[in-house]
Amino acid sequence: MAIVFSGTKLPQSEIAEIQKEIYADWGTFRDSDIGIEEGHKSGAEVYESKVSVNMAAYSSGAISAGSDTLTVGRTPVTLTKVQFADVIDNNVLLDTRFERSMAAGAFNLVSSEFDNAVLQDITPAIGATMEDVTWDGATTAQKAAIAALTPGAAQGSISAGAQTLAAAMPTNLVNSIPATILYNASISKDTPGAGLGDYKKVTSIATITSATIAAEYAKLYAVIDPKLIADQQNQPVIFAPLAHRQLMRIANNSVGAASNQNFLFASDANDAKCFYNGIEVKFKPLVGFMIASPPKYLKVLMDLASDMSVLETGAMPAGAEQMWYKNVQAFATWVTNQRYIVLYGG
Amino acid sequence: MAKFINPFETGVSYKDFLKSIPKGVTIKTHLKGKLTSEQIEWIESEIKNYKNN
Repeated sequence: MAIVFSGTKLPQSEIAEIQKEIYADWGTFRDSDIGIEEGHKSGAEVYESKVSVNMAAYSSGAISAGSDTLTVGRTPVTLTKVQFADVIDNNVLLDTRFERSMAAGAFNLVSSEFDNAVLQDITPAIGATMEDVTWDGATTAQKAAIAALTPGAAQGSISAGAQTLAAAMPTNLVNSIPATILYNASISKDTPGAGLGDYKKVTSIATITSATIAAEYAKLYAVIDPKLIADQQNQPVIFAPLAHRQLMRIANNSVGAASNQNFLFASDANDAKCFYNGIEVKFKPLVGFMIASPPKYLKVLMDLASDMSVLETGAMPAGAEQMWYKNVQAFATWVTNQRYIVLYGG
Repeated sequence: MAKFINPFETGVSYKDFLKSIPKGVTIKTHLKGKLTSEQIEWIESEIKNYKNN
């Protein structure tokens, strides 16, 4: 007997697990890979000091004024308040799998499954965004300021390549660490006030591939101030783009080449610590730039770092069957002791 | 003959450097023998960026 079916055919099963996006956590905030400074709501003062002394011929007489310099600079840094917020209309979830986890009653539209499987990903998505904006991007004003700098090849001038990279950065509400290194208003620079940062750049750089990565890291390493390399209390770290881990592994295992492992990995694990000439390399969502610096010279100022994972929610007023969520943060990047920061690509 | 302007010298901008190159001479030719090939390659790429910025 023939089966006669009329009507719309619908799928009768589903994959239980909801397939999710990856929300990367590169450790900047979780592991405090740079100086995370909390307790600042709208602005903070950053003090830097520098003492230089001069040897003089001995005298048993009274000390007269000398030429030592004890410098203290105070720079105000303004935090930008940002938010992640939206309105959710749960009514959209009707006619989907989430309907099954809604309480009985037409007024009830909250799906516990949706809350647990999708809504809870807002916080990690915010974390991933904060990581991204920390390492890449600049405000419109910062981009204009960087573009207006006079480019040149020598130390003490911005390279044209850096201006190209800055122009291509995402336009954000806050400045990333590279954008702040390139241009800032620190009072503690050689030329105090708004202008080019005091960073050291690496000249004669080339495109980084698995074939060139060792040579390019050598150029970066050579520019690091030897004082930092010798300072056991304040060791520099190389902050590198994420893809460099793969390029390093490929370079270390180059087919047909003599074994020449320039990059030392603590293990074969994909998240293993990596070192170049004894300096730890940490991989961050940087684009085009690399930074070699003691981590504490690179700062993120915040009210509370845990603000990142605070998501307030509530029902919309006046009988609306919608709910809102909101995350609020105060944020600014800053750099200190700039003369010791090497910005590859700068 | 005009004085050679080294783009790596402190205070030299790309604008000054470009002005110092005689008409019809490429950057590569102008810098050949005065800088290393690695430096010349970088300056060429820098000037490309400079002109596009």
